[in-house]
Amino acid sequence: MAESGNNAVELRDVAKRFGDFVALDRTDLDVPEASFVTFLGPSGCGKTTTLRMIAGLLDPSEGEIRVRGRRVNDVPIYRRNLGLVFQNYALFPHKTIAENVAFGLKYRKVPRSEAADRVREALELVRLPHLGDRRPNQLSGGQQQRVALARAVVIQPDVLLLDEPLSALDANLREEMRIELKRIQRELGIATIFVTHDQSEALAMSDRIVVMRDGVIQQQGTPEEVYNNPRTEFVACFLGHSNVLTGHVSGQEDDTVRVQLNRSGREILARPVEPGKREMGAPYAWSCAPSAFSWPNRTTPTTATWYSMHACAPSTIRARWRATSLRSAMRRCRPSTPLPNAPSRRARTSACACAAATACSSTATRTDIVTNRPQPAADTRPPSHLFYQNRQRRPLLDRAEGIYMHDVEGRSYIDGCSGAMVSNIGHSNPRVLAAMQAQMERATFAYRLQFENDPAETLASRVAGLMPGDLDRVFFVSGGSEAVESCVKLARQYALATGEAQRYKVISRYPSYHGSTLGALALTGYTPMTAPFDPMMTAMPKIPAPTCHLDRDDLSADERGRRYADMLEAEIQRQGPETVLAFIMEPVGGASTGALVAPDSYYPRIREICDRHGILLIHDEVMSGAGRTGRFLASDHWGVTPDMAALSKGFAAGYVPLGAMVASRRVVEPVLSAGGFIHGYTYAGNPLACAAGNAVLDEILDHDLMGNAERTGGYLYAGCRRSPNVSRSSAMSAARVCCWPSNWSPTAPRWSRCRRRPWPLPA
Amino acid sequence: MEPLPPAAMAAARLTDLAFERGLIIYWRRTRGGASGDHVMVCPPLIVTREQVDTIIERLADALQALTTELEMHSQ
Repeated sequence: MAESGNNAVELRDVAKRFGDFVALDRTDLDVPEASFVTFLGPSGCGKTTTLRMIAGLLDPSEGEIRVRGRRVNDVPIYRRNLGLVFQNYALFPHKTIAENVAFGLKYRKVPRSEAADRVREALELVRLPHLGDRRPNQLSGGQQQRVALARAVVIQPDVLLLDEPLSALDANLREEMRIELKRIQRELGIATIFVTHDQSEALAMSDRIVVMRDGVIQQQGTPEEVYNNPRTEFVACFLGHSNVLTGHVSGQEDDTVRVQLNRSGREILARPVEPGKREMGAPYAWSCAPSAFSWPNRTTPTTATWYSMHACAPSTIRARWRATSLRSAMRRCRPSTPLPNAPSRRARTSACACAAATACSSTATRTDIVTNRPQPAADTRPPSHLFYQNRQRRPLLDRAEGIYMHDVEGRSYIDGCSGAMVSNIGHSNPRVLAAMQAQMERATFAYRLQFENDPAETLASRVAGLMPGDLDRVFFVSGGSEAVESCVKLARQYALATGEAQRYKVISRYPSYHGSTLGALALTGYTPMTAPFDPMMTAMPKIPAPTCHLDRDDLSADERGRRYADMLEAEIQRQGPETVLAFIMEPVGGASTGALVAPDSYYPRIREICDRHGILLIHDEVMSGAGRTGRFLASDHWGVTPDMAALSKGFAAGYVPLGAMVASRRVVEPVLSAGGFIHGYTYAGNPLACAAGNAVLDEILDHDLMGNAERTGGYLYAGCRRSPNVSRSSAMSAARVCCWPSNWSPTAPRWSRCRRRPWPLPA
Repeated sequence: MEPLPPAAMAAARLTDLAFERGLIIYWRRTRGGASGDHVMVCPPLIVTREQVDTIIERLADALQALTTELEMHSQ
């Protein structure tokens, strides 16, 4: 690549490795001044890593990064003069819009009068000049993203870095912002690097597209070049909406090849990009250029242009064609018209689906799998004042009993995941309802600093009896996040009480989920949930979760288990053993890892490492505890006793919000002696919640639900395992099949794209 | 067997297809879907064998529908 003084950014032999993993292979790249360059690729392709290295958020393992000709490898992020916009707007909620935009100027000590002018100009640029006095929470998502953009450009950066800035917006806004972004970039003439996995975004906005995969640039060029002349099959498939047709060469006239399609028998004409003689039935892969594709009849030559890709498997010729033209792909994010031969099988699929699915029956590209979530047809309900993750409406619940839930439209559903692994004893259990009713007639709330209450005392003593080892001190809370934070706070106060104030680091695993309040989030290893809040919390050290099933090595399961456990040892040494307070893990993984079970050797090794360094072991049993895995605690399967355990979810099985921290008296007593546990929640241990908890425990024990979990869980697991559509459901740990009963997780529904066999039902 | 591309959001789609068939399951994405997504099937512990059969049946149906969709989109 030629050296050029006209490049805003240059990468020379830049590579990034995380341990053995190569996130970006040695790469050369130029971003010309005033150009709009898009890094496009699937997750894990290295695009964000590259952007973060340019931004200064990551150091390259080797190579040189230059911004406007100046080497910036050793220049800290705040001296690089780059404008950054992320998917999460990261606006300061307590500052006005103008103050948010002015933040970078203040930091750069720009005089106040000049700053005010520049803020006004920036807000005018993003067409929000009238909203300077508002606060972020008074703005829509699209407006907030414009503010983030104004904040990035107000500092007059050398380069604008945009990391999937549109992916948090809904489809309409996304399209609108796409146009806006491009307009602003053009007006300012700033070199811009845009990271996305959205092909249509890339095609619509870019001057150049850099297609990446597995840390390697597959191809770069103008949108027309990469779209029309994909150099690899990956690029061809990844750009636009590809479909595969199978056929064989049936003839050739000059530069045109006649291809007979296997399924329909129709012939189409194709023009190979690489000229030359094609043998009849010769094995080639084909890619169709998108422009002006039409189905030819036998007398009219097609206007389609076909490109030879490369030799492929000998049995078939595969022809790829694009459903949409480049222009329309650039114009819109979803094709709205049916394809030429919108398959009739589709109609059958939608016919047997309920009304909720009809929204996605009209188009036939892969896009609708992505975007067409079921919407209730013709929803006549008034707008909701409630909001959760998004605007999607859900069926209105009428009632629930046992494992069934019924909506007001009369549809019934099997609660196949107990809500979120909560309703362990089923819905509307008469015994629990009666116990709650009886308690309600006596007292529903008593503040724990004023009264003791029977249900709480009874439940605490019963829980202590079910716990292994010396875990016999119980602290009630109202949910899993609270339980986890209670463990952390108790651990910290234990360190203070025992004269080890320097211990404060809590090591956790990645991926993991320990709760969504800010304290618990600091332990959570789940980037989509933590990223927006990174600046606001002290993220704790993480070690890899023991995802042994993904490893490709010659080690036995037990060897892998020890290897992962020893990563804790290494992290403790890296952090300094005297500063590490605790290690927290889910004995059986939850949402973030899909019921991950480590090899047997992992658990005792972790316990031993913690003991050796005087580090407290916290088991997050919020999802796996209370009988879900066939034992009261999942860790009982391995006979390992933690110093503290967090319980919730199945503990009150959805009847009331209730959770608990159960801790060893060795940990609790010093804290109480040193002045008390400085912590608590208003509803902790209230009599109504504890009465429900007692009744749930009665049901679990009296009906041997843990035993039933083990039996029916094994049966469910066996049934699911027979699926050829589901990969490797056993690898989560064949040895522990029945320890995640009723809670089978196939780790991944990974269907082979070429699989054709039906899914057999259990005998 | 290769995992499906993350952009296909197959686990989310499967969850929707199952929901349409009267079965609620739970999906999540790990590590950006690089090594596949997962769904969890974990009914209340009171579940009976007969009910498990129904769960498997509905899940099978949803999987089949998803397979059909995916095939169609790659055809």
